[in-house]
Amino acid sequence: MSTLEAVAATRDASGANTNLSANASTSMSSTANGDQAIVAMSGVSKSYGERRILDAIDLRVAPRQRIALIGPSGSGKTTILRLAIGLIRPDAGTIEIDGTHLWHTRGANGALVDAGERQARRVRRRIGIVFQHFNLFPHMTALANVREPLVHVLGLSRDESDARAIDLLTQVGLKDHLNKRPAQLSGGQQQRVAIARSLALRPKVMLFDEVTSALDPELVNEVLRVVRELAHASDMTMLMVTHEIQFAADIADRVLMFDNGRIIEDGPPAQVLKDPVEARTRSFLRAVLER
Amino acid sequence: MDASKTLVDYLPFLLMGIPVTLEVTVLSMALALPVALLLALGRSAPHAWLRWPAGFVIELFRGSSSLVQLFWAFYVLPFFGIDLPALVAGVLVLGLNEGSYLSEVFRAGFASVPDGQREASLTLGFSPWYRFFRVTLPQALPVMIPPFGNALIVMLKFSSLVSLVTIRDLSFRANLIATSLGESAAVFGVVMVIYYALALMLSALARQLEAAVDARVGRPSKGFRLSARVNVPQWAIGAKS
Amino acid sequence: MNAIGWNWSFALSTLPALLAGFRLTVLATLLGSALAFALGLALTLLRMTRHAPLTLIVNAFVSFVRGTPLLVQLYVLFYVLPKWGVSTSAFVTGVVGLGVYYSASTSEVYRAGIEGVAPGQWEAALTLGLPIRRVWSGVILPQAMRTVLPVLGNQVIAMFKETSLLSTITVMEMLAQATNIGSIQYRYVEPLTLAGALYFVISYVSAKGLRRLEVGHVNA
Repeated sequence: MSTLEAVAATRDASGANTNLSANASTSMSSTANGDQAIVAMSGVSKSYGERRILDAIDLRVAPRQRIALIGPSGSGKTTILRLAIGLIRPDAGTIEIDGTHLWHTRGANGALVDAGERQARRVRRRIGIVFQHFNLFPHMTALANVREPLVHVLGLSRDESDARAIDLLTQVGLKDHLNKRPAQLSGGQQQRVAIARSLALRPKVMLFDEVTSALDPELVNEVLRVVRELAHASDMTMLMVTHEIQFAADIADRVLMFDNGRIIEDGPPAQVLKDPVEARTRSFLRAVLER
Repeated sequence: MDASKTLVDYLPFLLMGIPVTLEVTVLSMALALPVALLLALGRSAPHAWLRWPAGFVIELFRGSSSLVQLFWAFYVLPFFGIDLPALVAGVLVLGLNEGSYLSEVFRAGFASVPDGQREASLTLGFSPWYRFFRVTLPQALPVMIPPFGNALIVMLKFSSLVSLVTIRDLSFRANLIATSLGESAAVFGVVMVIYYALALMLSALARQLEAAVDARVGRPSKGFRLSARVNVPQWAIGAKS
Repeated sequence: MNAIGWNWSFALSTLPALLAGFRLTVLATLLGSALAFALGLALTLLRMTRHAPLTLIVNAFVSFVRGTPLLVQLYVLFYVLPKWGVSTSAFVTGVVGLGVYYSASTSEVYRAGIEGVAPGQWEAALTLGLPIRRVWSGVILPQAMRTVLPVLGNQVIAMFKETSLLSTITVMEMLAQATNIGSIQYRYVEPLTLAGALYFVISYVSAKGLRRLEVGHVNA
């Protein structure tokens, strides 16, 4: 059983394919059962100084949903991701991952109490992120990069970590590059190592922050291919900030359009990308697709 | 040892060292800057007969001990018939020494001016001199002020060395008082505070200069201060040990 | 052309004394550097705490040490330490003086090295959930070392040249030997020139060697 498949909590009864139309009924703006959301943000706001990046956002993500976040830069889509994994703290509101609060715990009387970094650290185990600029450790080989969380977070033995790391790197097509340093790899290869590294901890939710934006055009496809395989072969929930509209249409079952710190459009790709409700979405898509 | 006198009695004598120290500092700096510019220009000159001497001077002064250079100027030059007054020898050595280090600042400053400036100047028909003074230098200046400010403080500290070749600056007088009194802690403590105060003054001056240059040229430069805290993500400090 | 009055036999006769001083020079450099590296590290660690009064004190100390001449600091230590009952040899005093003086700039070097590590590295370490100790030992410090080590190398070379100041507190290092001979024989040309040449050769060769190591490391 490949590691990608092992990441899944349960297997899809119809096989490894996620079928867009089959999921259409569950891809509406909220989950069927409110308390089963794997990512739940309530009233989340974030400002940097004077600038308000996010304005009282409510977002519920069902397990196994594949969500594309689109919108102009500065609209808050990257901030949402960074909030979800606890890289930054919201100014207001709560965030829950897989039923557990990121920055709060329940006090004696059941009320929410401010918890700190410790709580966030616990919750972060269930969620992973791939960055736009890879952020690989430059002084380690590809294998060592992927091995790092296995040894130091999961506490696996050196042999076990190596085996799993090699398996992951093979899945992303880098079996022959195990002992290369990031500087010796192309951008596309580095990003694939980064994906393998984030997968090592088998998170339930994976965040992709414009993972192809920093790549030369001819390297974009090799990374998109890996993300696509991930979507098909696993049951992970995936949130992707991307400018690759066509790709979003292919694998997402829900698209969120961000503008000025608000979600102005939320629906299946067939609706949002082909026939959006908002004029702003329309003009954005027109500008992006005309390149 | 004069038991009947205290530090307070010697204070005027000590404070008279301030103008001497400042004189040495300022004069040496005034020499160091043109020396640095000449060396920087020489170092990047197209002609080898300019490059090698410049390179040689730079390596010589940077590569040897400044105190040795000072003593050499003071004790050895007379043997070659060159009898310099102590102040001249001191300023000369300090200026050439610091100038050699500062040539690197000029070089980095010039390198920081975008290549496009040179190209634009050429196509606009500017002569090399005009381009240097009106295009290159003004844009290089903001980048160079903080290191120059730093160098001024270094020069202040450097100037204390001339006390060892009979110039009656702060350090010289402090030493004299200490041996007269036999009570050294207080003297040297006071002298250190005086030097520090002078250093703060000079760095305030440098900051003023920086602000003035920034305003005129319109290019931001990095700040300049003597110490700062370490900027590290908060989460990495909490439970570090 | 012959330098006026350069006497080769006299020059050679000064060598034993100069080399004896050179031994002390090298020793002082190594010990002083070790002290500076250790003390500088402690200072940097202290400056990273969230305890505001502590960082203030440390910053004030660093600022004071960097803003006053080494010469005066050496005098202070030389005259003051015995008064406080810390009676040590002039050599140890000199090493302590050099170590403390250079610890201030060493602390700055460590700080610059740590702050020079790309923010993305911190983010990757955080999001992977690496324990804090591992973040420092496995991710941040190895990268900071790359920029820090060459600069520390330059510091050692700078300290090597500044050991000559120890001559003012009666340490018989190389310059002291040279001036000693000079004052006895009333001939400074040979001893000072030889001492100067030795300082130059050692620091020039070291600097070039350091540059080569740096380049080799980057290419690795």
